[in-house]
Amino acid sequence: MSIVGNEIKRLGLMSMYEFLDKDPEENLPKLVDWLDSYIHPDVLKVQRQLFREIIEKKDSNWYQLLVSLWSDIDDDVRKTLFENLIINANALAAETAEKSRRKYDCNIPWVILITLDKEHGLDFDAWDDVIEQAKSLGTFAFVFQGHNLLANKEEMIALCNKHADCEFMVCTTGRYLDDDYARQILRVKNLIVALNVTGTDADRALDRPTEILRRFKLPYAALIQYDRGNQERFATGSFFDCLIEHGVKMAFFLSSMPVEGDHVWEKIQEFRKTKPIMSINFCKDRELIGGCVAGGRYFCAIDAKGNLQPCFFVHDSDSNVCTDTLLHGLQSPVFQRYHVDGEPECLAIK
Amino acid sequence: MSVQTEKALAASLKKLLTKKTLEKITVKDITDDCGVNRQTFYYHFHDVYDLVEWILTEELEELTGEIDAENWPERMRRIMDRMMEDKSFVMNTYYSLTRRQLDQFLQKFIHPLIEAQLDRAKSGDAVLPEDKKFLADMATYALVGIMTEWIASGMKPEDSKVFGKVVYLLDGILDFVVDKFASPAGSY
Repeated sequence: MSIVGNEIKRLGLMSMYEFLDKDPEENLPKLVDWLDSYIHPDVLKVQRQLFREIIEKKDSNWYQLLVSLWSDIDDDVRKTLFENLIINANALAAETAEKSRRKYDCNIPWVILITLDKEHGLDFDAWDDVIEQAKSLGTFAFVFQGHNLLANKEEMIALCNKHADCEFMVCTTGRYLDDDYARQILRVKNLIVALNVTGTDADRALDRPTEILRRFKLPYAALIQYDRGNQERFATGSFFDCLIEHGVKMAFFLSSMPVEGDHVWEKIQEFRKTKPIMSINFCKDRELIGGCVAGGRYFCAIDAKGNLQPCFFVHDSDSNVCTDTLLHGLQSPVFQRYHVDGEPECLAIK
Repeated sequence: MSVQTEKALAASLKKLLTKKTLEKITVKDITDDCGVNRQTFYYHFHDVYDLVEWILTEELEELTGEIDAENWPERMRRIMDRMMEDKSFVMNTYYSLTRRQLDQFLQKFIHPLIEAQLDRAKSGDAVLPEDKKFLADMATYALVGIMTEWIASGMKPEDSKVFGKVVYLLDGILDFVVDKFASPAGSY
């Protein structure tokens, strides 16, 4: 669609949001009807169906969670989240990404994981260039990871502030989060904090960052990596309740375990029916997230040195964003393995 | 410390504007002049236009800060003088923003000033809030319209006399219109 067409579409979607914002409980069902007529039927089909079920059962845990987005999150941050995630990263980017996919015969990721390293990694200008390239291909969501990330505030806030039309998430222990940090996030409005949760006593340290984030009315998530060895820590009701008590609305679970014997995955499915927290499991939630996300199907990662990697668990790389374009990396043999009809062969689950 | 950086970036932009037009100035030009890196610029601003807006807001806030019933004609005069001192910045801003954006921006500052004047009028309390807003709108549009026309026609010093006339007109007329709308309310 043309630039003017996209502007009109954006105005339409934003006025819809303002309508919803006035009285969410009353206007939410109307919004969903309207979105269904607006977005192409194939875009986020399963997700939208699920969403419809949520808003129709007003006494459900999901409905409580949804309403809490209005009571617990800053008005402008919620508006930016809607604009960047629903309008930019999905409604508008989907067409650009699909065009790029066909034109360049490769996958275009929905989200890119960026590894920041102040001492040895790419600098602001290099990451800025990668994000510009990604946006032109149709990617508007980015996740930051790295060591001592919150200690390197300026680079991350600068990237968020420059790319105000994108949504960012930072994975962190939260140790360096303070009031000023929260103030900067509130200023840029497009950064979600994802706190690493270990399921051990160390999680008591989360009291402090969650208190700050809650006070500033910022959205935050929990990030849990598990394997055979530690899964029992997370596969309990009390663990989920603890997340909810800390105000966590969304939990990302990551594991390369097979489905059989994955107790966390069993609990996620059970609690999804009862607890007011949205849990997503990579990559067990095949239906929700659309099968394998790797190889740029929805996701790809770039390490601190600029190596492009296909999967959270698979670190093969045959391209680097410092020496070549992002597009060439997505067209490289490592990524082409995932550019197939149907499910690619999984190299992660062992 | 942060405001210092913002001020330094603003000074660099103003300096560059005396040599080239706004759309030709890149963030790199500004940061090179200022001696900081692009990261520092983007930590504070989305883009060059965001910096322009920051400058306008800072200066207008400073100029309209302590305005009151007595000093407002003099303050208006100072706003005009300041705009003439910063002619290249104002002209560039005018050409890079849409008319609508400029109008909205100026209205944001002028409207509260006029409202404050209306509140001070003798029968101010007897006027309905919606009428007060209407009267403030009228006066704001007049002032902003004259202002933008003056900028559009090249900010000639001899034409700036018109602001003296506007201030003179509004000064007497606001009391009169407030009276008119105060009694009896709703007779229009």
